[in-house]
Amino acid sequence: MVSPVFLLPLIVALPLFGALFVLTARDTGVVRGRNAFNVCIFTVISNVILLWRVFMVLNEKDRNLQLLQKFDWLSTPDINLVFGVDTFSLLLILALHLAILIGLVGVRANTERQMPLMVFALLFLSMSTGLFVAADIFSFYIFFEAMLLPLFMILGMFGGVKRQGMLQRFFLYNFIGALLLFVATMLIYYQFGSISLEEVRRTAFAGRSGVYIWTAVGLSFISRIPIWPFHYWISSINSAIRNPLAFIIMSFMPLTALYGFTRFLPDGFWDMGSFYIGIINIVGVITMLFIALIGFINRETQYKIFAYATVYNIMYLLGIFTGDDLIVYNIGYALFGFMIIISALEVLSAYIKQRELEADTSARGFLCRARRLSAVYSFMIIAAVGFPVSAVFVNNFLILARLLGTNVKIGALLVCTLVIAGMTLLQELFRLKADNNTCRLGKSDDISRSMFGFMLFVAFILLMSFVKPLWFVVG
Amino acid sequence: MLQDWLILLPELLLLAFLPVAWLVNLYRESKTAKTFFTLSRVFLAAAILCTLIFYNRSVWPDWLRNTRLTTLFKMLCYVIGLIWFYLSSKWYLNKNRSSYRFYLLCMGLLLVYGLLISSRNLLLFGLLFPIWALLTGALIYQHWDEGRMTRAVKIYAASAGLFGGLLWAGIVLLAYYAGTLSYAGLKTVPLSAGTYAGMALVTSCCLFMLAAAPFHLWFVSALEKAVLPVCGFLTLVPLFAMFSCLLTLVGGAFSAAAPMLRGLLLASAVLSFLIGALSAGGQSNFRRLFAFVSVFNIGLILFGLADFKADSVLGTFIYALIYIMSITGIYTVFLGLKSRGDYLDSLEEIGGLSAEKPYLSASALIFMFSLVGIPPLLGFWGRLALVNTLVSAERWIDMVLLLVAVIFIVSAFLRVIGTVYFEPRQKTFDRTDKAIYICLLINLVLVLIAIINPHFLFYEAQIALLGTY
Repeated sequence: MVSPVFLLPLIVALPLFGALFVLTARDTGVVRGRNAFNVCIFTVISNVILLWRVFMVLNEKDRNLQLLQKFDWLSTPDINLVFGVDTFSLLLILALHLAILIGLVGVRANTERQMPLMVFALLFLSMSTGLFVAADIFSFYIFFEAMLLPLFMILGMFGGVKRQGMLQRFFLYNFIGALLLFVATMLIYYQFGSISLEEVRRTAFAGRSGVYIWTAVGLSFISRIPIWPFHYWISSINSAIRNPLAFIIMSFMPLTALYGFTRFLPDGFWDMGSFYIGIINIVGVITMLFIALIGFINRETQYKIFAYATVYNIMYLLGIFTGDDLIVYNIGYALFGFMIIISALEVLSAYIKQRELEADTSARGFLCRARRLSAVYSFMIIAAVGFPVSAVFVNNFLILARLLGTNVKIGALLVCTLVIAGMTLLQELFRLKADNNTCRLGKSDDISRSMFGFMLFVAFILLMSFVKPLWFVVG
Repeated sequence: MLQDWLILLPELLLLAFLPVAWLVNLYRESKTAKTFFTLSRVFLAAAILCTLIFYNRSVWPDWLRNTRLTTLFKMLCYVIGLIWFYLSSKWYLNKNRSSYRFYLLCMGLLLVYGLLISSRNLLLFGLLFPIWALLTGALIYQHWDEGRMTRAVKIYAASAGLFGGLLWAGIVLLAYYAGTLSYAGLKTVPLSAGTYAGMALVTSCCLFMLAAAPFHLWFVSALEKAVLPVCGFLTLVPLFAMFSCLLTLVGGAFSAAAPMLRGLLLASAVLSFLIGALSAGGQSNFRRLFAFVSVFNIGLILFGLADFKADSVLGTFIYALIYIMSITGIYTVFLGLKSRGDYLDSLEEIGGLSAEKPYLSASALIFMFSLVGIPPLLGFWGRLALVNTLVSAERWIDMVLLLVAVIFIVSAFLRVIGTVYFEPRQKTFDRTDKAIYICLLINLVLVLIAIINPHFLFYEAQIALLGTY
């Protein structure tokens, strides 16, 4: 099926044009930050509408990449840009857009460095969308590395006082990861030419060179997931960022790696690499357990959210390594809900933290006085913990069942970890709902009606995704 | 007879500039920095035009031969020179200094480079070397009244003297053992220890002129101390001239001794990019930092070129061209970094630049990321072409070495970016000339847009290289 309207390139290009518009927006005086924000919101919403259109023309039952578009690019070496999507990648793109939209709502009142944030957020959106629609090895690699530039700048602007060290760690880990993928891509190109991602899974990992290629690919992806020994740089970054949009954008780093694994994992890997899968399972579960425990004892809300997100990211990684296509498909749906929940939680937590700082008081008991905030915050926590209110519930259930079926011990440990991760968030909810007469935050500090309405809309999306994952696709 | 003179017009025009400039300097009373720029622009533009017209005509083909390949490299040298002349005029206007010596020496050097590119006899090469050495030395030595040049000039003079001696020793050895100094004749001479030694000495001299390690010290110290126009000229213009010399000499005249010379080139290449990458990170002077970046890139260019096969030459040429575009952008940014009339060169001084000069900072950022080959910037294609050359030749270890060195360069750039974007402001920056912004914009458009359809930019160059080499 070939798209006559260049929908996929348009989805990648629109945020780039948006970024250019933001650059030309007036950013001084009373409108400081507002113009840039409005252009950014408009761009993201426009892209969401385009994505909706793509969902309409997509055959959701077809697991192959669809709407393929090929553009001739370089002749030395011979490289083309190829775009294509399936339901899995499209769900991730939609989750990315909705998460950034939620993040934008969280920073709407900011005036400090709003314009550069909007520019780099749109650049990131464009590059990560490009990654999810890439249909051949070079297109994938280009977007995989290109997204580092906006991430680096966002981290530099909002990375807190220790950002110089963080920046070095961030860029070197990721740049080395990207270089490894580059080496793997060149090796694949040298042997097979510029092949599609679907062909890579079937052909590229045979023989001795296949081992080198797979090692490079595996290391490049796994360096973006907070699994031991790569956990430190991500945790130090995520706990230091104080801007909700920046945090949400950074949270997508592991997602790009998970997506990479789903695309590159060779078909016969489960027969050849059972030993390695065993090691990854053990290291993954131990990392999850440690991070969940650290999240539980840590008082920082942001770290708790990070710990929760990390636990789930590693669980999805282990799910991908089961090699079950159905599970991978479920992971797509789970990630859709998961990213929205994380984003909404981060925005609401950042809002509470802001109120705390402004009133110079503890937020303990704040939710008892702020009804609107209490309603949406509680809903998000309930959804995050795993109650049946979003797509996360059903899909996590299936993934967990599959992991338990593969290895009971690992599965049991995984359940323990998920329980601790859930308790970590509930602990925060209980703190905010506890009786505290000394809390100086009151009804006037509640979220605005418009923000409440927006969060209700987000809750509605989550609920509907539980009822029917692709409820918005008509026909 | 008249036709011969016409064919020599490009060289004659460059030569004619020298007495004309001297006369203007002597007799014209109201001279500004722009006077000599205007004069050099006219002569250089006419030389470019004539080079194009007589692109494959030669008067003495045994000594100087023009082909599509030489025309390509001459054009690149002249055009890059012209662009840099324009940007340098801004420096002289701001400093209110006489630009006479700068343009005089640079035009002289362009003439020498043009002759070196067309040269087909080692005797001519040997005769041109002392002129090149004197002009370059004088260029580094100019503005000596600021009292900053002593050490750099001493290093340069010692190096140039040494390599001049080595070059002539090589020429004498070749004349004695091979019996000929023409490039065509040298291709077919029987190889002996004497010819090997002669070829190696001549090649070493080329590496010195290119500022490849371990012969790079003069280049780094000159770039640290010399005035900005001189730094830019020494970084931007000689590269393609020496690229062409290496092609015609090592890839052509010395092709019989290729395996041994390949080892020499590779050793110099590895040293260059390792020294460049490892040294760049520790620099607090950003001109010195970018001097090491240039040494690093020269190493990469030699690395790709060492095979002298059509594909590797094309890949390396693409890399070199993209590198020159990005480094030109970096030097243009340097021209915009002023505080109270002084051009800045310390990394500390440009702390917080992004707050006051967002466009200048963003340009520097883009050029630096392009230099390390981050997609989708044009530099990515350069890196891809170079790595593809290595992969095609199955030079796996070389590729790993290269990528490790790239990580160190990235680390050095991160320091610069971190200082520019995330450090508090140290200085008040002067207003930047609009012309600087216009040049940056043009360069940025090329770096950003050319990646969409690179054939458009490189098609003619590819044809010339593949058709001729």
